[in-house]
Amino acid sequence: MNAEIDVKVRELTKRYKVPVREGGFRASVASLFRRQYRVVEAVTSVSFEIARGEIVGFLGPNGAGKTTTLKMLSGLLYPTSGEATVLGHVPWRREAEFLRRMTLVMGQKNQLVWDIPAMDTFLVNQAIYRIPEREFQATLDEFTSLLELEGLLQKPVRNLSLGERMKCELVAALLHKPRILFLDEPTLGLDVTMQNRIREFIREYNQRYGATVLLTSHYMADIAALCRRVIIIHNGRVMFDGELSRLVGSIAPFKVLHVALDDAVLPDRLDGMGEVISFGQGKLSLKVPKERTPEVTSRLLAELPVLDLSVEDPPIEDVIAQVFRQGVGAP
Amino acid sequence: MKPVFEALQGLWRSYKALFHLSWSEMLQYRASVFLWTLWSLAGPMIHLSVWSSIVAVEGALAGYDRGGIVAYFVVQSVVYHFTSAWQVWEFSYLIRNGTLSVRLLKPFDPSHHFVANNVAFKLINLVWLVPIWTGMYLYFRPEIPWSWERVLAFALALTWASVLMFMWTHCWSMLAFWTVRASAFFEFADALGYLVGGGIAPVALLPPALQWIARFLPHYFIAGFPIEVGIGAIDLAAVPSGMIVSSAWIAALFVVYRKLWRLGLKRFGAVGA
Repeated sequence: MNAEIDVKVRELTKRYKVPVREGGFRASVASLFRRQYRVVEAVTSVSFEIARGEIVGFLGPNGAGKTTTLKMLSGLLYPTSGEATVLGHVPWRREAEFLRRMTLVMGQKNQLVWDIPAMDTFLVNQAIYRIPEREFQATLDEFTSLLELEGLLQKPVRNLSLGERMKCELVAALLHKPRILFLDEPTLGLDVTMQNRIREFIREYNQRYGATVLLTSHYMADIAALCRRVIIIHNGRVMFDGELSRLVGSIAPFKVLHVALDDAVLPDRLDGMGEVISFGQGKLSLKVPKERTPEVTSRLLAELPVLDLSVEDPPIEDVIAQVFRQGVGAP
Repeated sequence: MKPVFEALQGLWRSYKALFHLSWSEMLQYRASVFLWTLWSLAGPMIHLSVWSSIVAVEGALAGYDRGGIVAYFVVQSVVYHFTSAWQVWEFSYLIRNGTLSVRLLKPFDPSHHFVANNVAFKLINLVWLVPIWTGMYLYFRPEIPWSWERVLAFALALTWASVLMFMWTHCWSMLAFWTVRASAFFEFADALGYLVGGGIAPVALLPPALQWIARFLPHYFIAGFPIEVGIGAIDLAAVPSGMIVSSAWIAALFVVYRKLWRLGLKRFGAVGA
């Protein structure tokens, strides 16, 4: 299969020169005469490709270089070196044709004007993106229904809750139906219900319009629900690029067995079954090497008064945390 | 021809939407907008009272008797309104809080937002400024030689002055890419311009050497020149040459702005976003 590639990134690097000084008045005066700088390499030789219609999770701890990469790919930042094309355009040239076909949603940044209804911002976007009236209305109706926005668009933005505001931000960012979405923490600070709704909306948008999505999120539920593929970046470098399931398999070659017991069981009866994660009040969780899972499952069923048993992959949060701690092999 | 027409039509629609957005925002804060406007009249009125008192004691200065001084500062209040520009503060703020990044993501030069906001503010404030100016005219009875040619020349000089002030401020705004305190540099340069450009007194009252220099500086074409055209201190035949110099300043500042914009974007760190 030779899928069309929407995002091509080759050896992308971004260095910042940042002023530094010690704390205190003396250092403050000294810095007037001799400013000192430190070069920070935010992104180092990052390379990857994203095919049309893919949803890719872009993961990393704070300061890993995720947002800097997204800003370069959306044309906000010039890289120090390296190359990138998005939908065939070099992003930092900021060609109108490119800007018309992409969007960057930043969970912490608003485009809606605070004191007036979101609808006013939508109308400005309609004019700027030259969206014909009929298409604008149809898209707005569609998004209003998907995100349950009835009654919200006429309220001043300052009177909306965080979740309602984020939904309106998404509409403002997608009214022109961009082909590529860079989403930077779109569910930040939202409650679980709202996170689910936003997730569903992203999935629906991706499926309806075949849009390509590069998503950063600290909520692993977002990643697990939306992304088959993840790119992990740490200290500005790509540490892993591949299927989420492969990551789990290579980093965490074990399963977690959750067992509900009918009767009290002495701990020594668990010897040799695996690592006990938790045990008590009729519940047992075991970490078992993948290849031993069938054997341990059989033993549990045969030797213990089992009421219920489930076999699960380890939580994605734990896997990612492990990647940041110990790294993975070559991507 | 068709693509050009479509581009202009698109631009006009965007401006119309931005006007509505600006007006909606201003109407939310109508009291403060009204007070800012009222405050902008304070400077010309203070100058008027000071210089009227001086002329009453000293007699006419450089051809300006009491009637001339009154005309100068009444017209100045109109010129001030149309030549106000404030994006140097706004631009720094947009960079610091990350809003510039949001605007840069769109296929629409962020400078259009400043133009639209500037024009919208000036237009909406006419609702109360026109009655105030009329009241001032009836109260002070300034000596203004009315003719359609002069009104047209004044309107042109005022429009050019407005564009020139906008470009002057816009160039200083670009410094925000390099320093968060771009407004401090602007305020210093602008205060100097104000002193010699006809802000606190007609340029004719400056020492001759300074006067000669001042008449080539942008601030003269922002303040002194349109006022002098309006009150008849400049012969109509001399207006075109003034407009040419003013146009040259606008063109030069536009080139400087574009250069700074391009350099600034390369340096832009998209902070706050």
